[in-house]
Amino acid sequence: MSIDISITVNGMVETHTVHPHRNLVSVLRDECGLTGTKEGCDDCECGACMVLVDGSPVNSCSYLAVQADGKRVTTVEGLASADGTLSPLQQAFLSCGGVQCGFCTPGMLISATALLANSPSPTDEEIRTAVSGNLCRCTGYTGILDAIRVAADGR
Amino acid sequence: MASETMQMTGRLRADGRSKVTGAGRYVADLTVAGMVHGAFRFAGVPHARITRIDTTAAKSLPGVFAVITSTEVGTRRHGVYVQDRTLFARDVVRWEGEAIAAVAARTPALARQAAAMIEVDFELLPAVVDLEKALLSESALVHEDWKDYTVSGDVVRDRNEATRCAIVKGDVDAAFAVADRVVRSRYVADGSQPTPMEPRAILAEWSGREITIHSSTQVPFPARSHVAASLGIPESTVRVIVPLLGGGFGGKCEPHFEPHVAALARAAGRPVKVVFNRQEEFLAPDHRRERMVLDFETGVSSDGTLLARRARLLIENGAYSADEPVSTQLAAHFAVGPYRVPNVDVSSHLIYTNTQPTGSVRAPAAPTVCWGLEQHLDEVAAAIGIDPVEFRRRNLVRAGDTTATGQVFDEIGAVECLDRATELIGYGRELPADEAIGVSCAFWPSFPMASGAYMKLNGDGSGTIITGAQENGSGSVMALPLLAARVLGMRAEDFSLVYQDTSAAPWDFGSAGSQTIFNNGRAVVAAAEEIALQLRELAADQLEAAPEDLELVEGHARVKGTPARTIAIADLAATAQGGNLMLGRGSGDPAPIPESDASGCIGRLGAESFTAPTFATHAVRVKVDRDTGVVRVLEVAAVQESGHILDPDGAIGQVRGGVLMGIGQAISEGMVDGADGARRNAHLLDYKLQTASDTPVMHVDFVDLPTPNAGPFGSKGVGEPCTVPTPGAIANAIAIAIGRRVHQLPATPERVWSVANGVEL
Amino acid sequence: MLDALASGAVPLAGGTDLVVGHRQGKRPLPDALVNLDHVADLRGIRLSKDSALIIGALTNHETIVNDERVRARYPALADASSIVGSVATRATGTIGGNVMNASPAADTIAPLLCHDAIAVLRSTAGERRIPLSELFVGPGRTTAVAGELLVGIELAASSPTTGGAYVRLEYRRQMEIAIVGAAAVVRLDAGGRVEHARVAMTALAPTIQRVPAAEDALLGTDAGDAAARAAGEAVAAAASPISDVRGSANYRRAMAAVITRRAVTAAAKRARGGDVRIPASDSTFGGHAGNEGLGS
Repeated sequence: MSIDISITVNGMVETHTVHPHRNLVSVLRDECGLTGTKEGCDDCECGACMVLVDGSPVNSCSYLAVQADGKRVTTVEGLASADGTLSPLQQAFLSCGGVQCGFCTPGMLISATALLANSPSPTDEEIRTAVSGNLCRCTGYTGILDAIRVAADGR
Repeated sequence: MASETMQMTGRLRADGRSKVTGAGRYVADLTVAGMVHGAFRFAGVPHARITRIDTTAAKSLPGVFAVITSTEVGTRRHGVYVQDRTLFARDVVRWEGEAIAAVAARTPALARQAAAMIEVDFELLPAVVDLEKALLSESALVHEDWKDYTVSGDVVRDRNEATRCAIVKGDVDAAFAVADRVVRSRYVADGSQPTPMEPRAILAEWSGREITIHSSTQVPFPARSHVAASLGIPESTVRVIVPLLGGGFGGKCEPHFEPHVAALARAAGRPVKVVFNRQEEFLAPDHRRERMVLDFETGVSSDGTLLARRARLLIENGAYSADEPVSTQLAAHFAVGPYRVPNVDVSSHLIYTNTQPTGSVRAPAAPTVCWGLEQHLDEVAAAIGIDPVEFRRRNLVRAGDTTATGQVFDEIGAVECLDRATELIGYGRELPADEAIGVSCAFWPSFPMASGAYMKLNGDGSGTIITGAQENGSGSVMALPLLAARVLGMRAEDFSLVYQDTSAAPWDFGSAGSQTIFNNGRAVVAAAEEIALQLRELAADQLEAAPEDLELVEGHARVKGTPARTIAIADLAATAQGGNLMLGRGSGDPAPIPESDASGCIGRLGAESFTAPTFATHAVRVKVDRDTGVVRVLEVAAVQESGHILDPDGAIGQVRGGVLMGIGQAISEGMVDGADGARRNAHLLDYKLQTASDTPVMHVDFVDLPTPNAGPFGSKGVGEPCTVPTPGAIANAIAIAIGRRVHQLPATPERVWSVANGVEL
Repeated sequence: MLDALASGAVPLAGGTDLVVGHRQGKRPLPDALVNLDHVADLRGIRLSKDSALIIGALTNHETIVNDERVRARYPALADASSIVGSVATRATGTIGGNVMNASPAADTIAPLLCHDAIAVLRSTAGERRIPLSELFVGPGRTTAVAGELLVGIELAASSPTTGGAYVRLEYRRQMEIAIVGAAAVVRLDAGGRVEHARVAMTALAPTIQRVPAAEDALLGTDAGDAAARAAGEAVAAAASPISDVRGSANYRRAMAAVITRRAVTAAAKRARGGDVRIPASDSTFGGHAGNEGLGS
């Protein structure tokens, strides 16, 4: 059995015919060709697969593609402007030492983007909480937290 | 108020843009035409004799292209020090993650389904798990045929003991006899995992007799050698490419599954990609930290002078020997520590068990042994009533001191690290009753090795570095342009990098042993110096000066002392493109290994002395909830002497990450293996990495000490020593906070609660 | 939709439990799934005529945490919803899913039991209302029959002198699962004595359940330290914890007493108008005290 779904991915309408058990991350990676979204675990613990669905952060490994039908999905590929200008968060991640191996980076950026959209002047604790569902093994998180603060403050 | 610590410069990494935009590709992201998917069948039982393998049902599943076992790939044994393993198990499985077969099929799900359909009959054997029982004569053997195995180097073996190392100096018994106090301690550590965020992936594609393998390996050149040897093909036909690598931490050191996937692709007649899931990443690789049982005994005089150390370290090898034998030799040094100890009798024993093989993870063996020793030192200091920091200051090694193996130290900054870290944390200040500060010191060697790089100066004045070095995320390859720029008077951003392709670049060991800048940096400097020579010769013609009178500064060649006589390097590069191209190549002589007296050593595998040793002190402030045993790490001061710091951004980033990895090992990351050898927490919900909410305030600083006989510009390794002292410092802080000592690693809430409240578990 | 359920389809809310279970191979996803996402009337929080709080089954945790009525009158539920999983889990996961998954470690159930929650179940045969305490049979098992859908949870009106709290043992500061948890709700009389008490325990028995002995230990007291300890001991005595990779039965039992004591203490403080920030777990474990700032 398959179901037709229509998802607006990074502003572009995508229609796909999917098995109802198919998760969103596999559709994004294998059908839409957007491999920026990563898979690091299978139980919502690492956050590498984080995308925005209608502006809310979602672990796309544990979210069925059919659940996204009719919704707006934003992946890491949708964060920079069309002309390639990096978002303030992307820029700050680079200048603050928030990127090492880069595998957690897409999910981190998505969680941070959701935070700043909802809470433009977050407290330090809100910043920490916002990315606590995203594991990083490289940076000790310090550069990532600094980057979100820098982007929030518009520095 | 402490002076300001070293700060990041905000330099942008060359691979950064691809990583923040999602454009960068990791192996799992790659697709090639005709590609199918592979999956492994793992043992699932810790120790058993295989009585039957039947792949008929799996092979007949529509969409399955190949099923391979030891029948297809043979049973040639391999291993760095002890050749004790085969690609696939044939007769016996020795840990639950051992590969028995692999399947190639149309989809990943189909491959996994077919792998599950392979019929395997086992006759279960007793699992050897307990380290002490494994040494008893009546213990079952993990390897019945251990005597038949080939070994490389001075590996001292006996039954379940995979190797034994010892360092002996002076007369420990005589020293104990005159000591004011002799203190004994025992510590028991659980194993832990490297846990890179990227589960490993391999894509193998044959083209006639040649094969290209994209692999998430830290060591592409050793992987190439392993594939060639395993499949019996020339190395020249094997090309290993690493696209972006999502972390390794040692877990992707040593060749792993490249030959399996290559053989699978050959059998399937098409490209095959294998992507591990998280559970497989936890169970199947042969690299993770060891369980240990550590016994220390120290004689000390009442004035706080260390007199003698006896130690016996039991170290888990797991089912097969990866690179752990040399870590076992390193462990013996760590049982002495960076202290003056005139009399030493230390032995370390590597023990086979029916558990996942251990192998180098970020500073292999060091954090765990250091965790034990540094707690023991706090116990010794308490026994003679001396402050633990003052006790360490009196005994830390200084320039001119001689180690237990007879090495004499050059200029080193061990004491300066201690002083600076305790200053940054505010050691001695008043704290709430549930908080305490703990301190721990460590040392770690640098590893001199061959390495190579090429350099091109392009017609537009930009440079290209073609290096065999491997970027694991730490930024070490990203820092190589800094070195080229320093030699050539250019800007780091003038250089691009070609890297992680064994067919393009000269040999390098890979991202292991904190060796990239230490060795490949030397190669890049040598290659740049060749270009510099060519630039000066060409400029000398044009400026009518002698080449030796020219200097390369700010993008120009100019006559020393006459800045007006100058020519842009870009102009020289353009000229060269019309004639004799500017090309450099570099390797250079590895840093010399310090002389040592190894007469008191057995199990010598090349770690008798420490080349360009690095030193670190971590001071941590913790808060302990006595009623629950929950520990929060609030603040860390981490100070390191890694020679001259070439790249503050990379170095600071390494220390921050190393500290948090150390916190995880200290309190939340413990592998839980049942007595039957079966893992019970092979998932991230119950193997708990620290989160962004847990990371403490960190003060990171360096004792910048340009060091002779070290890496380029007096540098030493950075990425490993920064995780070594953390667990010990946290353990000491917990002990001070609760007034009792937790002798197990990690200090889980349950263990802390049990010790704090005197409750037997 | 109810027809589909009647013919055996399984309802899917946020999917944060169902899909994870599927991916880990614990239980396959059923062939017939009904995506509830588009059923707008199951989402949201409203007050009934008699001031009961009605929470639609599809209301996500984030909405619950941010609802001023929940924060003021049902803070134990806000405590629980604010620590379920990660930010993403809380944005996607629903209270209905959390309840019907019937995990012994579900965070929201103990607070709901302490507020005498009613589960509203609907099927093609109509609607029935049962006390939430009668819903759970065992891990993952409920008394809801095939074809029944949980559409809402009703919480009895709560007075200003009622205070509640949910506290969970937290190994890490975030991303925890309940190893031991406890909820308490107390209402004080004019003299400051407990005239109504509810205590429920999480991850300490096959189902999450109230502990009447702990409630009795609080009635008539000032809900001070001695009473909180007595309630804690009662929960420890009533608990039937397991030993597993997360903790031994002995440790869990000891923690049952500690965590219950903290929940009662926080509930009583709130009943007196005192400020205990949400989530209560955070402050009882030292919260972020000491690692203020971002770490560099």
